[in-house]
Amino acid sequence: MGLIDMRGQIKDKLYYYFAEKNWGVRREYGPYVDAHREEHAEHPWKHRWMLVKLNWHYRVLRRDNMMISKPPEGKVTEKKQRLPYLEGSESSLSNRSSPIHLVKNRLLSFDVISFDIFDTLILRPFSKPTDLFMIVGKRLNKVEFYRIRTDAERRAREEAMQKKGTREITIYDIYRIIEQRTGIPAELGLQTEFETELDYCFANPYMKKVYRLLQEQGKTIVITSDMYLPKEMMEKLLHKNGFSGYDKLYVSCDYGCSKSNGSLYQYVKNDYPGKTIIHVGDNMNSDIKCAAAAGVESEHYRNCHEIGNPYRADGMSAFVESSYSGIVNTYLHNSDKVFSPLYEYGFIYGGLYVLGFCNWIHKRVKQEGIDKILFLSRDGYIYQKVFNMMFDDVPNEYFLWSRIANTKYTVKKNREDFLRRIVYYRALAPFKITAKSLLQSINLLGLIPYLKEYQLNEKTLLIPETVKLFDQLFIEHWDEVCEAFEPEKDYIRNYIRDKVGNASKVAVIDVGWLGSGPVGLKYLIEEELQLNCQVYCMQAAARPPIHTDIAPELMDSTIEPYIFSEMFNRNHFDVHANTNKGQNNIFFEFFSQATYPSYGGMNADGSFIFDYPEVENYKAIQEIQSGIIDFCSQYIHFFHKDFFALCISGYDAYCPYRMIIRDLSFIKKYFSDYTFARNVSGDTENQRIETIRELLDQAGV
Amino acid sequence: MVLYHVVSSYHLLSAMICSQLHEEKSVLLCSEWIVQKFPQIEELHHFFQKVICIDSNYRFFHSPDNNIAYFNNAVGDLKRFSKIYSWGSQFSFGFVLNDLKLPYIFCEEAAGLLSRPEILMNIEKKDSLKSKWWELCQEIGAYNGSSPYAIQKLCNVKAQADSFIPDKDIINFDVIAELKALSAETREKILSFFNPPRGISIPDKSTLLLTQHFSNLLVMSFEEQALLYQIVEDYFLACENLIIKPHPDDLMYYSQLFLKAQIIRERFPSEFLPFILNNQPYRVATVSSTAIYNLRGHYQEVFELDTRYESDFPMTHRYYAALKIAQRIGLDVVCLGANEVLACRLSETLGEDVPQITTEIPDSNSACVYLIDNVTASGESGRADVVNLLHSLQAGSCAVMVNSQDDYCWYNYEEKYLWNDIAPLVLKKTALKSQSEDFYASLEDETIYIYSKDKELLKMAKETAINKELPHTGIMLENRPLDSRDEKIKMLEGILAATENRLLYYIEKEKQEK
Repeated sequence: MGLIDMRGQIKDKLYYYFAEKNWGVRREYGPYVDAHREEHAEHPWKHRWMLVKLNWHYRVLRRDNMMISKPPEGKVTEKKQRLPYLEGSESSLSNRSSPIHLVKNRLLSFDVISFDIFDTLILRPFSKPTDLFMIVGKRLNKVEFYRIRTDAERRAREEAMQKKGTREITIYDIYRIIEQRTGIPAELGLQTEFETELDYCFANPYMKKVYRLLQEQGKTIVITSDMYLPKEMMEKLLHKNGFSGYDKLYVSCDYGCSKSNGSLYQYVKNDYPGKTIIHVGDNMNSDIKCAAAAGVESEHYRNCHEIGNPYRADGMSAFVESSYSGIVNTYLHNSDKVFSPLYEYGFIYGGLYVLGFCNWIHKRVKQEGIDKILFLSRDGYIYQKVFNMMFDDVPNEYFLWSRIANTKYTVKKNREDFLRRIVYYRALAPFKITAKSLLQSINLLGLIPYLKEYQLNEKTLLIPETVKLFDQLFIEHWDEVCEAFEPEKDYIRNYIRDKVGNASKVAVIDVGWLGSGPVGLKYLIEEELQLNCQVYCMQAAARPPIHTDIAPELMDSTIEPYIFSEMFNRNHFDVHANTNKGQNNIFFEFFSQATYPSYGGMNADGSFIFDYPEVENYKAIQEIQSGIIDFCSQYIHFFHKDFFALCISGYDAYCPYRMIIRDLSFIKKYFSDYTFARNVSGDTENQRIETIRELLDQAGV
Repeated sequence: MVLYHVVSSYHLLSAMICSQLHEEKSVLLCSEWIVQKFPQIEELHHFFQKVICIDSNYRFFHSPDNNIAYFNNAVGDLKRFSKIYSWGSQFSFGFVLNDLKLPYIFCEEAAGLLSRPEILMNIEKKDSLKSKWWELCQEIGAYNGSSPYAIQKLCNVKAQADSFIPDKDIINFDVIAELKALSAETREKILSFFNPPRGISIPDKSTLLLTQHFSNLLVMSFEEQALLYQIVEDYFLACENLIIKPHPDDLMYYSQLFLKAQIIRERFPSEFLPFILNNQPYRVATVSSTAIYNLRGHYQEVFELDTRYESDFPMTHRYYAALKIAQRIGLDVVCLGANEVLACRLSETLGEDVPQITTEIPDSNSACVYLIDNVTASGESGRADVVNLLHSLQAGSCAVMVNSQDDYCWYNYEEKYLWNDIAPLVLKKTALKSQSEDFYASLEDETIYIYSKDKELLKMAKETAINKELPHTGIMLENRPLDSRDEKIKMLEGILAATENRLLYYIEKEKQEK
């Protein structure tokens, strides 16, 4: 009576040995076969030869680099500028299986599962673990602490090597040296560092699920870590992050040996004789290679920062670069979750700037004793949302405003602005509008009877050749133009009074670029309405069409930009103004759109006017805003205890965006169909709007 | 000689039982997954003369001819078998039978699935490998036994859908009944192979919940699966003595989600439950596990939802509110596009004076509450139907629109005036305590819309008090009281959203036509 096909068993054993046992072969062969299933069926010998080559590469030559797969894009070289991930969702790079599949397909068959701690079970919001020392130094009120601390550790390890023949040390050893060299009491120093670790270490959500799934299955869990924090401290750290119920905790400083020399694994093996053990960790050397050398199976959990760092913005200040990268890397790459490209656009490239801007606004408001903030629509929508997430001590309002509204209601002061925006810019737009459409868009149908005088009629197109005629029409009927807006202006005045209230100082917030919105409101509040209220104009950045446009206003801080102007952070200004054929304003404004149309002013009966709803964009806008809000939530959550961490300079805030505009492939790929009403409130007859693709084509980008 | 082809544990159990019902010797053709699951495979020699292990996915990487050659090589001449029982015909062996035109007995994938082939088909459509093959599987009748070579079909008749009519080719096979009919010695041999725990005691009046491994099957995410069971427990089970038997492939940490529940972690076919528990549960519950079909009739009460609930479960709060409205105004409920099974199950939890649920539109004299949802799933004609219904709504009736798809199915620009007779009811969700690790619910308000031409009825409906604590989900569900200003704002928000939705629909339609 025959039973099992023995050939099957032998085949399984051979497959395990050649394709699964070695971490490197396993890392590459499985995914390669999955990606070339048909070839695997039709040309099995080709894949077997690949397997031989992989075994040669990893087992014989003992290489670490991947043999089949290409290295990640964006690898920093001396000469090549760093680029973001342009192919789509950066979070897809993690390529992790779900927690359930990891447990089911890999870990469940083992008796004992060992976990590494840092960057496996526990994450920190820094791109390098040592960057935490900047916070420790701040808390100890000691400048240069980062250098002192890293230096002390180095010295301690050297001393230990000389005295004990091992580089294993404890945190006490490190702070003994720090006390000697700085006078900071060791107990104070190490307590401060440990408390900082407690504040900033957080449970890896992905590994937490894996951990809990294994607990549910009654598996034996141990924790094995190379660390200078002794067991009692590590227990506290683990407990605080919800990791309990493990059988044993092995910390290198307690055992005097480490994973990285393989000896710590022997203790684990000795404690669980006859049991199958697998170790899960992120460090290729200590968690994978050394485990293998010690005869312990391993599972590589790719380090979040190793995945994400090649795509992080460079050139930022030390702390912000680390905290920003730490947040982005750990959030996007800890699990199998893949976020949408639009969400990531907000999270990676917009969140830091909005957060920094809001913090800067708050700081300025407090410095100047400002009573109230008016966030101008529509960009102010996201600013107000994030501001109110961060602060609750400054009254603020969302103020419906727009370039068109500003043009209409400051028309007495800004005739040139009116003629330029309403006539000249529209004449240059790709969609040509008729005279009737033009007049209708600004509630000036009363001027239709005068068209004949200027050789115009309702159907005459507004084109460069007819600009002068339209200009003349408006100039020569200027009083009527101003008069036409008066009924609306009554409502506008009441609206402004209502919003300003009793404030003696208000800050008006906008994205940029010329500052006409805030400055226009400043004029209305201070001069026309004389509300006895001082207006501060604050915006994300200043980039007027011509450098001289607002130079005096920037110099005397009538307009205050956060990120750049011609006068500060000049290199950012130059990049923004001079690359991508000057279209960078548009991509920047993707961060601060809203899911309703642009405000167009008021009708004579006080009802609001809105422009065409760009409904095609709403879903995209929601995703981008979700990304921004989630980034801000994460950053605030982690860094709220150390106030300085929120003081993000305008320079740093712009760096992520500067990176994404180095190559427009991402923007072209995901925003091509994004509609853009450049001819705002213009084409009332046909309601045409452009797409970003058309815009870029025209600009020759 | 009889041949049994099996892929899953359920198939293996069925084949083992069948082998005891035939005098002829038999051969077991099993997938490699069986071998992986049961290292004690050698014990099967008590039941089968020979056990052959094969690669069940072989066909999906090889040509039909290679597939035939593979099975000929593994099994020998298939024609020598007097009978071939094939479970898992959607795998390689099913293709061989079809290509060789061999008569066989089609055995249903799991109890009740012969009349519900779409359940298996939908799972396979999502599988990374089978998603490329499900159409071919369907063509060869692998899901419903419609192959011309399936001369008979083996199934549990009791477990089939109500519309199922067994014909002469049906062989009734109830695993539990057959196990009961076996001798104690034979039954014990079968049980011993699977080695379930014995003598499990459970409290009196227990509810036994059989879970499904939704996230493993990629039907939903891990978090969604956890939330689904939290909602099911809070709304439908809410019992003190909850016993959970997870599906063998379901690794969810139920003991951490339901602290008071008893978890039966050991893996064994649920058909063994009547034989291994010291005392039986009062009620057996499931969302959509097919395991329940075999257990029907063996327990006092059976609670089940349906596969539609796998996508509808986030709407449970809205359905609950709609039924509370119906209860308050004392009318029965007619479901139009809405999940009738969900409505029925919720209705049963409401205590006294519960509304009756139906899908049959009553005659014009009968007032009722129309529960409307998901009518545009198969096209815009559903929208027209709803608009017509609202126009012709009987006096004393009302309609509650769940709006799960955010399609505002009653909205048409030409009939904007319908909004004049609509009132929103806003459901507020508050976290019961600072959000724990297993908090998966959304705290965003939800809105349902009530339509009635009768202003008094509308007022009564929108003032229905909704107040439900959901301890496992971690929220308190209440209706948010709206003053007239808030109500107007909510309505305008709804109109705006509906208009944007329609606008987007026309924009997309225009793009497609271009």
